[in-house]
Amino acid sequence: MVTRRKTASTFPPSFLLSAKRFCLIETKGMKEKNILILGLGNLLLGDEGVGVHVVRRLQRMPLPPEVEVIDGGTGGFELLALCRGRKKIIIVDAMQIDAEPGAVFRFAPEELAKASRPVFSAHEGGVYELLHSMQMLAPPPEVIIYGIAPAETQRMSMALSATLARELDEIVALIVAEVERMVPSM
Amino acid sequence: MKTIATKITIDPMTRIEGHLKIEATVDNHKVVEAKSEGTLYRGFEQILVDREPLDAIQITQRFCGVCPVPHAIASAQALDNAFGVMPPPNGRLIRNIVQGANYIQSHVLHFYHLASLDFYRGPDIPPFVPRYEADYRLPDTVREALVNHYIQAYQIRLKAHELAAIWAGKMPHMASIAPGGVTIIPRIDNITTSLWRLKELTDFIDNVYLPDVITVAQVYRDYFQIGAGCKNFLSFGLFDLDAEPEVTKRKRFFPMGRMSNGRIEPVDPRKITEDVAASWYDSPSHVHPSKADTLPNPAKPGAYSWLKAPRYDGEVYEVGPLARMAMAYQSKSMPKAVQLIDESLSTLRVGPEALYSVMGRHLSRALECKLVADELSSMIMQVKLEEPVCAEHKIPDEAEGMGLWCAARGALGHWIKIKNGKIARYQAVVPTTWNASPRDDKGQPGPIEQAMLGTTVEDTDNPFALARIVRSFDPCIACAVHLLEPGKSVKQFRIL
Repeated sequence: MVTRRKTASTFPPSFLLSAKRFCLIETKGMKEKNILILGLGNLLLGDEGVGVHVVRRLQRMPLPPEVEVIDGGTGGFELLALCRGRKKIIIVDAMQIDAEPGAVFRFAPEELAKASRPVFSAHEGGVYELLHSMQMLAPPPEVIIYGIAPAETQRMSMALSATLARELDEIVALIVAEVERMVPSM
Repeated sequence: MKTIATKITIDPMTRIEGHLKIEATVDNHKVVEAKSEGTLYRGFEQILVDREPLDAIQITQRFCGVCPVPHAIASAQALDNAFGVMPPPNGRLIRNIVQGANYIQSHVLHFYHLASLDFYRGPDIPPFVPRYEADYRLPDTVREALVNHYIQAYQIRLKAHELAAIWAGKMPHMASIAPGGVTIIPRIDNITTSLWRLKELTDFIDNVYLPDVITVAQVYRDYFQIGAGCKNFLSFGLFDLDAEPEVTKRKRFFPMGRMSNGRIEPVDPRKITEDVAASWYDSPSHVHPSKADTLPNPAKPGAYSWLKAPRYDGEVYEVGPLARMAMAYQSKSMPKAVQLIDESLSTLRVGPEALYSVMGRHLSRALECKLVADELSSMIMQVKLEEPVCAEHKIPDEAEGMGLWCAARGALGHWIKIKNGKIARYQAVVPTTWNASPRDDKGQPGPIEQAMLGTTVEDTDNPFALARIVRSFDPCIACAVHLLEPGKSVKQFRIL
């Protein structure tokens, strides 16, 4: 498996911040579970749903008390409510990229924004809208994205392809390692 | 003098998840041909075959990341129908409340985060750039207010989501919708926490959303003459008001019906068919959804869309807020709707005919949002603590069921067939399939295609009028694919 790591740079300041009158979305303090693992993707489209498969596995594992694991499905912006009050958010999603199936990429949201230029609008795809609106949370959470290259994404199925099913344990282990770095006491 | 026709392609079109491509041929600055192309294969229904009937409510929510709520409710109604049960008053009210909250969320999303950007030049930072150059006419003060409201609308949508989650157990992937009603036991704090959220939503709708739509409409009055479309309207109705088992006889807040040549007519669900003449399917054409098959053939000659073409009695119908409001107005069945529409039309100094247009759709959506929010407060107060929420049911060995409902974007139908206690067949006909449908067996273009015909396009490099027309329908298709696509460029327009 290829694991390419990119250093997460600091999150860009909330957009439009030169104009201070823009209200930000209040977070009302930190949640006790201040680390969120959010699995995204469509469960009905085979490997497209790998993010959901990963979090379903994580939901059955012992994780530190500050970690919450949520299946976000194809929700976009509406997941923002779940992102309030988090210090760190790990997003797991399938990623269309020229790489062998099961390859995992770890990167910060701004890398995605850079790579996908020019975009039609930030709303092209719920995940973009979600990432964009997260910047309006005050304070914004630190976001790490785990993108997984699928074997196929147009097969109607609630199961992963054989290739990704084989890789699933290792992908889950990568996320657990990420959590361990965030919560050293684990 | 004859000019050379130019073909314009706008792809992608929807700004939210989904894949809709618009192709228009412009001759002498007029659109002479328009094609609305769904570029992604649908057919999630086949996943449901051989599964437990109750799974349908959960799995159909995964069809779409934007509208899981109406799918869950239409699915539950198809099961109600198949199982022969009707929800008790609490079950009916709670389904309505969840759906109402979803309407508010969806309509505010559409105006502020999708459509309003067609009418003003925001700051030069994402998400306001990149943008296409258009005739942005709003004065600076209005522009500034709209940018502020753009941000405020995020908070409002969150509140609406929370309002739904209070009754749905969680959002997304609602847990409380079940055949025969809902599974959530209402408590006093469900009611109180709903009411203060609703108060905030109502304040926003009355004092921000509606005035903003009127302001934009005043400046873009010409868009009351653009994008009329087929002027046939279909609605399955919204918010059950009684427990009549026969859906076509059930009393609904927005009634079920259709408007054809200006006349209000009843809906006979047996007259709904799906044509595939111009769709990439080999399955038989012009059949009822409960009998439809879905056999893809991407090489089918003459086809140009993955969407089928739903028709009522062979005719083209528009669905959505305009359909519901035009019928409420025409039938005079909802005095408050008539009053709101009359007041708005007179403020804008336009006649009722102006409703059938780009601005008419935005206005209808905003007025509907107000009607829904006002009705919500009454429905929340009708929920009775310690009374049943769900009727008992037994899964039959063999049965058929139909759920007809209205999503924010329009009429939604689910059809289920149960054999040996398992799902044998499932079909959903979703709103954007009606609106963005391709040509049918008779060669009639779909509502969005018709709305573009004859439109003036001054500059084929910037066909902003077409973008505004398509956006006014609030299209949302195949929105269930969720890949991240770094490195893949998304073009704003492509001129072929």
